[in-house]
Amino acid sequence: MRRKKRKNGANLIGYSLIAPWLIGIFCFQLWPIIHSFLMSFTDYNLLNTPQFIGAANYSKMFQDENFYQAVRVTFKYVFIAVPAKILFALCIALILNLKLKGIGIYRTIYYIPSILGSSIAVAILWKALFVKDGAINALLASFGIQGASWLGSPKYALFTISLLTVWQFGSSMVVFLAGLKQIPMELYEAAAVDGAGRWAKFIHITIPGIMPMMSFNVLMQTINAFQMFAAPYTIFNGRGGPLNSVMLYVIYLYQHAFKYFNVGYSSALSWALLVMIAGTALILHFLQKRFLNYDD
Amino acid sequence: MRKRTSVTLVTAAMALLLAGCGGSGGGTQTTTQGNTQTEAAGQAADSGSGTEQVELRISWWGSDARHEATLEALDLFMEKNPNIKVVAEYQGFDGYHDKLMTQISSGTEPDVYQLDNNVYFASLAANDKLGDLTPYIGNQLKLDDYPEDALTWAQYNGVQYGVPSGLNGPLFIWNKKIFDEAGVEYPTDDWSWEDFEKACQEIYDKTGKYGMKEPSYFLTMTMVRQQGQWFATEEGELLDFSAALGNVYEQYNKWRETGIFPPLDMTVGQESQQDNLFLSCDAACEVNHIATMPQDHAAMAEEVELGISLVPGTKQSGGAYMLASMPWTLGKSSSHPEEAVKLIDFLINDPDAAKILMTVRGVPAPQSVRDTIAPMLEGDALLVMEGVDLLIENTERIDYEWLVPGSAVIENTIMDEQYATGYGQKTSQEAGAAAYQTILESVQNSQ
Repeated sequence: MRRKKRKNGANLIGYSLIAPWLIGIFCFQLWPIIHSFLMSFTDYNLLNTPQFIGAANYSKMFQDENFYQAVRVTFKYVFIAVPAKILFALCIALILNLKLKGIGIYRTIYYIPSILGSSIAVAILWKALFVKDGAINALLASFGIQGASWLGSPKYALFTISLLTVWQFGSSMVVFLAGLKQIPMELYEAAAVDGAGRWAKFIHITIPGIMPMMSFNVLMQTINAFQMFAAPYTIFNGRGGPLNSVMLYVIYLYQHAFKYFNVGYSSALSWALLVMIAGTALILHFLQKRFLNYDD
Repeated sequence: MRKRTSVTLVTAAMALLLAGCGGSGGGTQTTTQGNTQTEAAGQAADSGSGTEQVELRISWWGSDARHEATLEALDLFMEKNPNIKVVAEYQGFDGYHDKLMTQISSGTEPDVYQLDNNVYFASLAANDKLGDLTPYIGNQLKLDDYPEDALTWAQYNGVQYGVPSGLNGPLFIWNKKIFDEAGVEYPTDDWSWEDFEKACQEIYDKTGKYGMKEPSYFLTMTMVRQQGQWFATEEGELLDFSAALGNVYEQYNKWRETGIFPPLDMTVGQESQQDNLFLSCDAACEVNHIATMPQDHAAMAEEVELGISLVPGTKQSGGAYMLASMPWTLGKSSSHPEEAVKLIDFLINDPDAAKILMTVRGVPAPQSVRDTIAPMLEGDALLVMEGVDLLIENTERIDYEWLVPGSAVIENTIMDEQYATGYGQKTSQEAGAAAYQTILESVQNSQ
C-alpha cells in the first residue's frame, strides 16, 4: 500500500513535468481536431451561431467543381514531388556516404535547405528566382536560352513548386544516410570476392539494405506533400496560381475558411483530406507488406 | 487500481484543459483588467489624477508612411489622455482581414480597428459583430461636421457602425517618365478609351513598356459601370452584370494581344499591392485607389513623377465615384467602448491629429479638418486632395456591391474569370456569365 502511494506521487510529478506539452497537445491539437469535426456538420461562417445541417457539407463537395480541381492538382503534385524528392535525397545520400575528407561539412551544408524549408523567406526567394525576369531566366538567357514564365504559366507553375519541395530533401537524406551506414561492409567485401561490379552491389546490397528507410521516407513525404501550403500560399498571394493550376487542397480549404468564411464547409474539406491521406497511407502500407519482407 | 487512478487523473486533466480552451476570452480579459488596475494605482499616485488607467488596442493595415503617422498621432492621444494607453497592431494589407475576422469571431478583436468596408462590412454588420456607434454620437463622437454622404459608407440598415477615415476612389494614375520617353502627350480628364488605346499603343511600340499593368479590380468595376450596368441595388441586392463584364473582358483580351496590357504569364500569381509592373516602371499607368498613390509612389523602382486624371471614358460615360473608405470601427467586444470612441473621435476630428495624419488614409471627410490641412499639403498629398475633389465633382451615384452579403467573393471571382478568359480557357462572354453565376451562388449560400 505504501509503495503504491509513492508510485502515484511519482506519477503526479511526472504528469506535472510534462504538463506544458499536455496543455499544448490538448488545447492546440486535440481540441481543434474535435472542434473541426463538429463544425463540419454545421453551417458555421465565423460570424453566426452554428446550426447543425447534417452531412450537407460533405454532399456539397461532390458537386463542387473546384473541389475536384483541388484534388486533381494535389494528387498530381504528390506524384511529381514525392518520387523526385526521394530520388534526389537518395542520390545525395550516396554521395555524402563516400569516405572523403571534410565530408561532415558537406553533410551540414546539404541539410541547410531543410532547416529553412517551410519558411516564408524561402518562398519569396523562390519567387524572385523564378519570375519571368528573375535570376533563373537571366542565367538561361546568358546561354542563349529563352526561359519560360515558370510561375505565371499554368503549364509550369506546379513543377516549379514541386522543385521547391525537392530542394528540401534534407530530412529524407539524413534517414537514407543512416540506413547506408548500417549496411555491413562485409556484404560488399563478400560481393567483391564473388566478382560483383559497382552496379550489382548497388542493386543487390544497397537497395535491399535501405528498403526500410525507403518505405519510411515515402510514407512520411507523401503525408507531408498532401498538406503542402505555406510556399504556394506565399508565392501566389493566397490564390490558386495561373488558372488555379496550383490550387493545392489545403489552399482551397484555407480560402473557404478565411476568404469566404465557409468554416463549416472548410472543416468538412479537412476531414475529407484526412480520409484521402489515410487511404493513401493504407495503400502504401499494403504494398510494402505485399512486396517487401524485412525479415529475410 | 493504479491504472484506474491514472486514467481518472488523465481524464480530469483533459476535462480541465478542454474547459480552459473553450472559455478563452473571459479568463484573459479578467487578468488584463487586474493588471491594468494595479498599473493605474501606481500611475495615479504619480500624476495625482484619480482616473482609472485603461488600455486600448487598435489595428490597421497600410504601409510605412501610414504606420509612422498613425503611431505619432497615437502618442499625441496618449499625451492628451494620460489615463489611456493605446497598443498598436499594424501590418500590410495581405492577411490583415484573415486575422481580424478570426479575432472578431472569437471576441478578441481590438477596441478600435480599420475595416475594409468594400468587402467585409456588410457580412459583419448583418451578423451583428460590429460595435454600434449610435449611443456615442453627439457625446464622445462629434459628427456635425461630417458629410452625410460619406457616413452612409459605414451604415447598415440605418445604423452607424463606423466612421470612414478618408475619402477615396479609383483614378487613373500615370508615370510621366514613360510618357516623356515615348513622346506621348499626358492624359487629360477628358480622355476617352480611344485616346487611351492610341497613346498606350504608341508607348508600347516605341519603348516596349506596357500601357497599363494587369487591370485591377477597380478598373473592371469602373468599366462595367461605364456601360450603365451597376452591380447592386441600394438594398444590396445583386444585379445581373454578366454581359457588361463579358464586354470588358473582351476589351482586355484585345489589349493584351497588342501590348497595351502585359501578357498574363508575366503577372498572374506575381502581382500584389507591393509588387507589380507599374511599381517596377514597366507599365505606364494603372487604375487604383487614389489614397494608395503616395505609398505606391514611394515604392517605385525609379525616381519618377506621377500624374492623375479621371479614368478614361468618365466624361463620356460616367462611372466615377467617391468612396468613403476604411471606417474606424468600434470593437463589439471592447470592454472600454467610451474610451475607444474617444479615440475614434480623436483620429477623425482632432486638428492636431489631422496635421500628423494628413492624407495617409485618403482625404479626411470633415470640412474643418480639410480646411486645417489644406495649406500644409504639397506633392503627392496635394495630388490626392485634388484627385478626391475630381471624384466628388464627377460622382453620379455610388454602387452598393459592398452591401451584398458575402461580397468577399466578388473580387476574387472577377479576377479569376479575367485570367480564365485571358488564358483562352473561356470566351469573354462565358467568363462574364460564369463570374456572375459564382457570385450569385455564393451570395445565396450566405443568406
